[in-house]
Amino acid sequence: MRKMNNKLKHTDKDWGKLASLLSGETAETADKTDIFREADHYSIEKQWNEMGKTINDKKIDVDRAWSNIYSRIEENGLLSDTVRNENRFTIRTFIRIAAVLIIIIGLGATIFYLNNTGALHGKIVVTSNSTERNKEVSLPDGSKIFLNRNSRLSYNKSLGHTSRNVTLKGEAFFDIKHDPSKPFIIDAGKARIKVLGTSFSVLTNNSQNAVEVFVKTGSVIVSDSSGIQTLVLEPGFIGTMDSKSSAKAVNENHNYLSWNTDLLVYERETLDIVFADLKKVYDIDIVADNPEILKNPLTTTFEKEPQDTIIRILCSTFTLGYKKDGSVYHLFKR
Amino acid sequence: MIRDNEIIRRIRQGDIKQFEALFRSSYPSLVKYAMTLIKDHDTAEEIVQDLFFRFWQNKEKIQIESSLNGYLFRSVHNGCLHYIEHRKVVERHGQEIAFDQAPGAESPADIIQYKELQAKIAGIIERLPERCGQIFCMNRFEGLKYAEIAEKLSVSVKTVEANMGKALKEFRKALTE
Repeated sequence: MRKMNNKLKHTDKDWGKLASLLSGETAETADKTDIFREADHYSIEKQWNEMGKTINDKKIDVDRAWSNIYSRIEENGLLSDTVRNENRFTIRTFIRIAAVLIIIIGLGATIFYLNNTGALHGKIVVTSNSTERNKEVSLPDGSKIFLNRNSRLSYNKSLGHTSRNVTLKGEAFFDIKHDPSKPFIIDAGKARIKVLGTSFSVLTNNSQNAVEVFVKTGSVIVSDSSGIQTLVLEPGFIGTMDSKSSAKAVNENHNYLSWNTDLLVYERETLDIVFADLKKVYDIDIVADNPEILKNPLTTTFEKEPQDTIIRILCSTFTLGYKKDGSVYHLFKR
Repeated sequence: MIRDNEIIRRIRQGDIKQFEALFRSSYPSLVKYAMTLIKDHDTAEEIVQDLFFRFWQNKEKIQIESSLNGYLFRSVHNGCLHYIEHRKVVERHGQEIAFDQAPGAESPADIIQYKELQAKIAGIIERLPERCGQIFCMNRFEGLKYAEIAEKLSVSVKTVEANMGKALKEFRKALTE
């Protein structure tokens, strides 16, 4: 009876506190005895603690247990109704999901397109197709860039305000306005090219998959994307760089920039070299039916000549005939 | 949180997902509880799995008067007793297997007390209100902390504490009766 009375003295809050205490949620405090003064409190504490105790703490694998039960239910044919229900539900769900997916894909494609055209970031993207050589781009800072075929240049609308950064893929000739406070930086994939004001060309992917830079005037700093390798190029030098190596050499091909200058100068140069240059400048293939033809030396200057004129001049110089087949010229001895 | 009646209604209709959710949330507590009665882990798991299988098999016929949690604990309790009886018959010597010794309990008084408690647990859980019983089992049998329980059930730690207090009070009452 006395116990009964004692028990009734405790409020719900007291029981809550006591439970926390017994469950190890709250640290033991002095008022433990105040909350729970009954003589037998020890026994309930013990029982409370022993309730959840088990001999070993072997892990209970709920997933495995569920698959046991599930297969038992399945084997006993107790699932059929449910499965049919699920199928009906699944078709509806599938249509709903498909609709959502179509919307998401549509949105994604739009964003991808806008992102590519730069409309989302105030970005300007200029591209040249396979017939556009020397596409001129005037930048807000007064610099001029000429894109060779199949190239892509992108930059921010605000170029020149705080910095001058562009990204290039392909080949381009840069004529950069001098501004020591804002270096002009080109992201060329595997390399970064930094200049203060100068003219040079950049090819982002040469025949060795490296970035190639030729300097016409001023000086240019080329570094790889991690900033470990650095090349300083003076006028007349060609630097190449990829993620593993870099090299610097004097350019011996004075027609290196012909695609940009429209000027081809030859002094006793064999025709195989000439044809390679014409391929680069005009994107035409010249095939000689007799290898002897390729050994002829040429001394001449072509300035802003159409490709057909050049072929005709070559033919009359070396007494050759030609047949045009698409973009391929076949040359033969007459 | 979905109420018990809704869970039972869905399971009756053959909603296997709902059944799986019920299974996953109560399986660990039930196994641990079974292990307080039978010390063999694998048997404990078997008994609980068997209970769930029969639950699904007879889902249309099952009548649950107490809370769902209480029903499950009562079923496990009965399942364990049944198993113990069965083993008693098998083992001719009739060793006392029922209500194995509490870990660390030494004196006969302790053992007796522990057995008393074990015999009453399922009944007490049955009497506890729905959520209270669930919280109690998660804490005592699964060993989850108040904060973990609060998170799982999307309730406050204060609610957990209050419910644990309620459960303790019930236990006190049952053990001093």
